[in-house]
Amino acid sequence: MNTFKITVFFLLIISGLGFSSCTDHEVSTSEVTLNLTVKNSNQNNHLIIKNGTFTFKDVSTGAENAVAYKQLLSRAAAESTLISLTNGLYNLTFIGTATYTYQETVLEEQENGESIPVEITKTVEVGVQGAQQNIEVKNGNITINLTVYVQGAQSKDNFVIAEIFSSGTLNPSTGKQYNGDQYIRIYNNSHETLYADGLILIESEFTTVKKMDYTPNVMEEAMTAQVIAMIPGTGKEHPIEPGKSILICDNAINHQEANSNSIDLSQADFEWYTQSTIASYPDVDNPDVPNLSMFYNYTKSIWVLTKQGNRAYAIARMPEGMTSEDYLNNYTYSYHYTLNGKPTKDKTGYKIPNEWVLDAVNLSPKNTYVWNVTSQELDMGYTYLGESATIANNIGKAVVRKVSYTDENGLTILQDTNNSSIDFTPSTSATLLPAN
Amino acid sequence: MQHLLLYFFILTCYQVHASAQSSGFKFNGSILDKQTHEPLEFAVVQLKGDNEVWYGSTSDIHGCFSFGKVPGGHYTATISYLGYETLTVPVNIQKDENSMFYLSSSSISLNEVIVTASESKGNTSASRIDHTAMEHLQPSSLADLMELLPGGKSIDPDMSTPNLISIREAGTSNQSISSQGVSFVMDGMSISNNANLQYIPGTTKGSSKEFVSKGIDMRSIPTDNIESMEVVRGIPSVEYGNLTNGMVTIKRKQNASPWYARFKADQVSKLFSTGKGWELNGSQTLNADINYLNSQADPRDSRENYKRITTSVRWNGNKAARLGQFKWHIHGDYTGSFDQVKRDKDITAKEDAYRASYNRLTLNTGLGINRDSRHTWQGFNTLFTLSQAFDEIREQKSVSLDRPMAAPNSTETGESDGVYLPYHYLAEMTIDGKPIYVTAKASTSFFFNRGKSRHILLTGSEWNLSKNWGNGRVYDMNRPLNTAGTTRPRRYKDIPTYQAVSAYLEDKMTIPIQKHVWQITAGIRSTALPGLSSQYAMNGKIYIDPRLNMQWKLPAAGPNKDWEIEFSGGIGIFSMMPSTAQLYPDDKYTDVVELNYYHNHPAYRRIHLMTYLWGNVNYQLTPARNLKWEVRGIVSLQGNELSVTYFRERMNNGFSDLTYFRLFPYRNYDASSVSSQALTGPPALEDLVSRTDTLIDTYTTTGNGTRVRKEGIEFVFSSKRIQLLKTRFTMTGAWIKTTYSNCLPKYESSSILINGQQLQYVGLYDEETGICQERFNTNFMADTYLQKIGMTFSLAAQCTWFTAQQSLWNSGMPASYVDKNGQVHPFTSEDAEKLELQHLVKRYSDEYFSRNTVPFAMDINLKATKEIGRQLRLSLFVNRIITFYPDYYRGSQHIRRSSSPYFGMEANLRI
Repeated sequence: MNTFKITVFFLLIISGLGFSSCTDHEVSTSEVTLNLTVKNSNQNNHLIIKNGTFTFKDVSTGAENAVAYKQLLSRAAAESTLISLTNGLYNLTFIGTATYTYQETVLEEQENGESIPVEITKTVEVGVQGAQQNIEVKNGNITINLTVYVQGAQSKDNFVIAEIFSSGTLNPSTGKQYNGDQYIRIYNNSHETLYADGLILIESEFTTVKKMDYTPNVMEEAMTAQVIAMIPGTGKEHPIEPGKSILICDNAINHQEANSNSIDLSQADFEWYTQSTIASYPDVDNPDVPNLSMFYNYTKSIWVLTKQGNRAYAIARMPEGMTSEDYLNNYTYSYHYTLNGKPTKDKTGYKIPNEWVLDAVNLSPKNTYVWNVTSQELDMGYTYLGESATIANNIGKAVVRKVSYTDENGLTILQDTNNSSIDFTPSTSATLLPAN
Repeated sequence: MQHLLLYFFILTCYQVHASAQSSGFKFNGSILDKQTHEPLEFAVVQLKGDNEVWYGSTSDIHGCFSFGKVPGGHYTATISYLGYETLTVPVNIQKDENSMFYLSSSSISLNEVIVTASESKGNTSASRIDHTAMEHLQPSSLADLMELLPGGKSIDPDMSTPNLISIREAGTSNQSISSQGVSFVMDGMSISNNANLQYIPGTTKGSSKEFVSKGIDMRSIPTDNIESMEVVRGIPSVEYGNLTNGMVTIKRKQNASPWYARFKADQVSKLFSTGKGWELNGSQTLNADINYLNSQADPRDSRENYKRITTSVRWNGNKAARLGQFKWHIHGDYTGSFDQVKRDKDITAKEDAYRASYNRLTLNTGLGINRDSRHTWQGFNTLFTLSQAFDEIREQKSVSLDRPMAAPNSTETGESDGVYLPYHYLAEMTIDGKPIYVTAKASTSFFFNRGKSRHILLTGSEWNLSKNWGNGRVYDMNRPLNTAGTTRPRRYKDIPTYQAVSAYLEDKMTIPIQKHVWQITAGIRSTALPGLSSQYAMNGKIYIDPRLNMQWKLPAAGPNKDWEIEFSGGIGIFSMMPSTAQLYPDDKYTDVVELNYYHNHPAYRRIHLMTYLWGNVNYQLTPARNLKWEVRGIVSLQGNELSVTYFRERMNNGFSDLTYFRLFPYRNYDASSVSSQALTGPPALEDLVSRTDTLIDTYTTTGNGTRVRKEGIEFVFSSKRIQLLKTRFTMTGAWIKTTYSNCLPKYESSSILINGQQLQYVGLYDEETGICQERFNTNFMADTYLQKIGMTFSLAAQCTWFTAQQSLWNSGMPASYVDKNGQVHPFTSEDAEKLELQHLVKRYSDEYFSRNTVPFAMDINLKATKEIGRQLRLSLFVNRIITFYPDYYRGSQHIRRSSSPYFGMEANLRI
């Protein structure tokens, strides 16, 4: 009897502890002040933002709160604070337009038939955009300084990444994921024939699902890389016509031999090959398909693209005349970060200056996205293979760039606003897979 | 004062006095612990006659004392022993007398229940845990008892991995010597796992479940049949060897006891055990018990579990004979220990499974004669153990490949065409181990006086044999578990038998100097491994471990003569012999791909390999040797006792993985000249252009590269039960600092690929690298025993005052590097800027080597037991019922900590 009482007493203590750990939930708001800075790498012209929309997305609830730029301006005139937000963690994006003016000298034909130079002022409208992740809104007043960039400043009329397929296919005979058939498609989005020679493919060092205080932080000037692979060639060996793509894959072999759900990639344009000589993980090489020249790779066994879809990929070109030796000697990047309050051992990889980058795409599973691992200038958003990182759900899924328009000659121009959230169709069937 | 002086005199001269008697009677007897009936050695016996004449003696290791010739008359015998109540009894000696005296431990004397570990009364630091403490703690296995050691803390039982011991360590260490260096002795016999070879190279499921060369898995030892246990933290006697860190001695029940049954359930496991002890015709006992445990790594997940079944039958007997008291025992034990991991039935890879089973049968026999202290020859003891284990690990895995690969199946050095693996297959590997352990031990002791000192000379020898006659690693080489295999099948039967022979000699002296008593134990143990091939550096060598313990008991002090003070100290060297796995590692294989030609037509493909095979034995291996010393002081007053120990340990050659480099010359075939259209079969090697190249890579082997430094202060305070509160207070704690480092040069290769090639260099790093960990813990416990209502409950505040970690500074610069011709070049500062060599430099930020501390944290644990009637006892424990984990800042990071309670309950039946 005594024991029974005592047991009940203990249970009460335990349950009491459980209850007391809950805290009262109060909804409180904070006043947010926003400052926009326009970063304009190409022109020295002064950009004036015309209009746009700020979108605050609550990270925990997914609720969005959109505020028009104009509305903010009028509020700013009336009161000192701009917007009230419920305390929480937010991802902020701004998409809008800006104008700048420049003086141009044109030859104006006079009535006498002579042409004289005349200075006229031209006004140009450009898209601008910016984003910032994980803004903690609390403690009453906060100020957000958001940098916005001119859309598509980097890769106008050039190669773009058209598709990334890294989730593999389902092997029906084993019920397992098969990922020898990963590929990346690069598309000539210009109106001219471009040469793929010297184009480099980059895989980011960091993941989009884990943010650390990587020190030094070079994100605003360079993209950090754990893989740098270059399309070989002297400069004119691999012409790509407008509207055509090149297919780069892990193994240019017939994958249907291993997996009836997969693809025959033996006709791919390039394959990547890590010349691993230790039999532990020998990469396979189809001698009929040229290999990318592997500048740098973090692994000497087998390089597979991120199966969980949580890294960024980019294509870039090195400046004229830069040799691999120059690059490999001068562009190392050693960093550490704080783990459990302690700096980690430094890790050395490489970095690619942002100016060299033609196109960058951040991938992240939708429900675990934390941040972009490239500058917002290169990519403001992210796209995803699937809602979660669970490979089984994402099998066969790729991210594919949307079509912007088809011109009068039937040439398809893909959308490139340097915002993967908008430019890509997420979690869609890989284009090379047979339609289901 | 006069009285005192007289006492001095008498004690000093008792020897003379005793021998000066020309006529009288013999007065013999033995002194035993009242509760455990264990003999108390070195207890002081004084006889005071009516004529105020004093006689004095001390007891021997069997607790026996003797007075040669005492004149008949009435005497008062005073028997005192540190930590025990002094016993004063009148004795009437009119003929030869033989008496038994039982002393009560100071704390027990108040009808005491001790629910904590107590500091041992011997001359080295050890924690004694008896059955009452175990019952109160409600353990599932021996591992749970470790929280009772100074500096220990309750840890939630994790039955999904082997529970390895660590003694006097501030943090966790992945170094095998940490647990390998602790010896477990059960009923006088050491338990060995020396020939355990149960591991699957490269397994992912089993890697956390394997404990080769890591000593004893404490999960497999149940506690219900243990009478008492002692964890020797200090300097164990030379009687015990093959250890570096400490020793756990377990004494199982061997007396008549009622039938008991225990049912326990906690968050992850259920336990049932039952047993009984019978008395057979007075002098013999038979004990039998069985214990079953079923545990899950996660209670919501039935796919990963651990099961244990143990049973034991123990027959003990003794018989008085003319020669002395005969003692014998025969113990038969079975231990089954089973780990199992299965994959989800619903998901794709349903074939995947891992199962490890350990079945061990042990027969432990002993025969001895004890003779009382009238004889110089004190008798002998022999022990013989035979233990056979049937161990099996079976892993099944469905393997799917993403690209064509070759099976690692060549078993000799040379070039050969590889065999392509199918794209998917079911791989199976069995590790069949059948280690057999034979141990024989014999010892004899002699007792003699020399001048004022009494000596007990103990000498003995031990012979250990182990042999694994299992089939070893068995699998189909063309269907390997891991395509990255660097090993091949291996028959464990082919591994030579391991033998160790030791002999020891120890002198325990008691030297009374006035009222002070000095006890000195000095011993030497030598060990050799006969039968070891002459290539080994250890062949023919004898390793000597000298050990010394001293204890100085001061005379009782204070106005009531109730302050007892003693100091002790010891120093010793300990050797641990390498295990079978360390002496006879697997052969290493490296397969270098010379050509991996892919053709769309499967029949036209060709993979060509150069296989290197080498024996990976390190013939230079030596035993790990630890030098330990400690000093300890104990003060006790009326059942309150405080002991403080300071210790230091130093080991320079603990077992570790050493890395070396190796060159692999190979032919690199260039397939670009092959026209894939023109082929009618696999390309002929003769038609291909090849160039000779060399790979440089590193590999590991067992060596003596671990340096261990330990330092600390341990303290134990226990009050006597305060009658008013019915409560006893105990405080144990320790500040411990341990440094594990690697002190031998290390070759390291890089995993990166640069300019399409792996790094052509290997760096040699000769700086000491490691980590220094520190911890200061105290456990404050109040236990209340309410006899009237049969309740015992305890509250323990387990405080971690701080833990700290610091990496040992090193520059990260290689001392030299090796190129692929095997040439060694010094590594200069210019090299650190070079294209490839810069990747050999390890870089650290400044703060990397700074000391990081984690501040105070406290857990409150509650345990309660209620007796219902005489037969039923219900118990409950809640660990971390209240916790205090304050937030703290480290650098700019704000760190929050949390924990959740862990609870369990049990019922005990006793009929």
